[in-house]
Amino acid sequence: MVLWQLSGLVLSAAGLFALHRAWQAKQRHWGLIGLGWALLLGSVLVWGRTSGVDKGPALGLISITIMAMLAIFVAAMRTPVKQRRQARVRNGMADTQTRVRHSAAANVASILAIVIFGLAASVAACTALFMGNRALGMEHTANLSLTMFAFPLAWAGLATYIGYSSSIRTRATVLTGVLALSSVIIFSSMQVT
Amino acid sequence: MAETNVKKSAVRVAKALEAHSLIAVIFGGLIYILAVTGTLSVFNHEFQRWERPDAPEMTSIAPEAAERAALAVFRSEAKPTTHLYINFPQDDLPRTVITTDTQAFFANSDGSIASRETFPWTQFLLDLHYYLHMPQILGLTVVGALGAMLIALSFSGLLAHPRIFRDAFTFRRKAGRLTTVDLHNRLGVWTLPFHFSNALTGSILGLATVLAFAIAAAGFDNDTEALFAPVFGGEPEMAAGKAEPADIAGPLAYMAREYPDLNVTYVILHDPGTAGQHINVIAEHPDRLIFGDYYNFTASGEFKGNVGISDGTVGQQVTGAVYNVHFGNWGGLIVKLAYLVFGTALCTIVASGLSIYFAKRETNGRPAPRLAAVWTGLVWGTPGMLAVALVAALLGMEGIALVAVFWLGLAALLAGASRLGKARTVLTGKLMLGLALGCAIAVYLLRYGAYAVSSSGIAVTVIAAGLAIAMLVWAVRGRIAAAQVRQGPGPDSLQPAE
Repeated sequence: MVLWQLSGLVLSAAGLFALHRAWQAKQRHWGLIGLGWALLLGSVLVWGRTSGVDKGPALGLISITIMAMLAIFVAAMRTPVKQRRQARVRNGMADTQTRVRHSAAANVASILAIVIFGLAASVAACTALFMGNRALGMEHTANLSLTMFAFPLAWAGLATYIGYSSSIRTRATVLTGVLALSSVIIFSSMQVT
Repeated sequence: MAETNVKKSAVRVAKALEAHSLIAVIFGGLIYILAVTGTLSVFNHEFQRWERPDAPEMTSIAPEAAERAALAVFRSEAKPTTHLYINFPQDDLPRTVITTDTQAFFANSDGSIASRETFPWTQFLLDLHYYLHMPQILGLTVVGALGAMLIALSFSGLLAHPRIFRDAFTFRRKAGRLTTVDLHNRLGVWTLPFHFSNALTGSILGLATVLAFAIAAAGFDNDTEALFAPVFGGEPEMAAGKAEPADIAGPLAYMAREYPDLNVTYVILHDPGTAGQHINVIAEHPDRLIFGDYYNFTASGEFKGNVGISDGTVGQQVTGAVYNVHFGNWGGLIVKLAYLVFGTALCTIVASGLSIYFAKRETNGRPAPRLAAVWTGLVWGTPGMLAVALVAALLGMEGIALVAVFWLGLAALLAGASRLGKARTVLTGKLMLGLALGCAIAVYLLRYGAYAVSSSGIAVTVIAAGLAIAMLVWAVRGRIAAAQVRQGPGPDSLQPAE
């Protein structure tokens, strides 16, 4: 057990070291990058031997993340401090021209779209996902857990899209499309089941 | 052509940053409160122990003693409870607690009842993290929604970060805003597995009810229980008629005999004293992420099988792991400490994110000093007011009074911050946190005396005292530095900044 844990720690450290060397190289070094990720994957697999099928790899991810934070800390400590110029304060008027979206009304519309329509669309989409999979004969617990994972991801994806898209019309089209398609799937799968 | 690609990429990054800022500005405050309370909640068992160091402790309890304690509580209730719980001693909470629908008691190892179970501050902390002190379903949904928004921040943050691999190890020290940007980005990227899985599991737990209502309405005649029964097992119909309370010691002896590797965490006696009563024994599987599995017994102690969270369908096993992955209680103290580090990193990511936003506004000629100060007030005021609530709890306050202390105090602090300005708010926040923790330790020592250095009290006492001293020293040093700046610039007037 201890041997596996030590091997996992060594592989994590080696993987991060390889990635750090690749990062330091002037040219992109695919060999080192590949080696780094392969060692990290190896570390997770080795950690998998220390405990159950789910707990072992989870411990591996924790060890990699802790080591990465240590690596960042070491990198920060080794970086020389440079004297830098004060940031130049730009003219507010000039800045507004470069902003993608600047109207308060547009921001309020985005907030409402994220909270209300984003929620409604993701609930509808995930209900459709569940009902569709159910109509296709998917096993209930797998279907339910898939849907439970999909729901926050769908809402987060829609929220990101709503914040990203600068056109209110495109946003409305996407949200309406999701709602309409979901409704069709829900009602047609209700007929099947 | 190349120029067009660069332009397109710049627009894409600007739009992603716009989305990132929008979501952060709207939801950042509440996400920060959840991050702070979530980080502390990982240690809720340790806090429960610390709040009541005088409660009886034991490493295990005999099945007959546990049954005796449970039946004593059951028989003492005027209105029969529908569920009777026995919480067994665990490594991080070596206590036996008997809980009914309305109350909970500590049990002694001989099965007698010791005292009422209370941990007002930990309960306040958990309620803040689970529900933001709102009514349960609404609160859970709001918290779940904030989890989804944290995932959206991860998505938009990744989209806004085109040099994610090129900057993987970049960290510029003492470079003003650039240091804050590096801190935000590096922690955000390298701790992504943690805060993504945590936000996802948190939002699954919070949004499950809303989703269940929708799916149940579409396909289960509004019966949400039917939706979850194949995962967690169903609750049998309540049978009419009275009966002697079920055999609890028998199932416990069966578990010890047949499953010696499992760790029984609690027992639920459903509908005790009725003809339909039955027992679930919940046992932890030490090598798994799942919270445990339900082992079902009849009232006479006959084993009816397990629900299958440990060995059933993939869906059951995945769903069974969601809670533990979120709360970090699946690998002992080492994993809890890792969650503390990652949780602190998440708090730093959220706090630094909005600091960068306000600094950028200032650089762009659109400063918002009052809002920036209010944000700083929230960053320092949240742990500060949690510490003030701890003092209030140790002085005897509980429930809604603690909620009022926290929220009204935080509101006053934010109002004050907008007048004080950012620098003075930081100083006030550190002082408040240090003083409140110091007061909490003083009240605790007065209240519990020698218990403060018992195994239940010592760890939290020492850490809180250390934190209080660190905050006060930090605040005093900040004050001295501020006084030196007011006296005039030194020879090295070139400030490290962007």
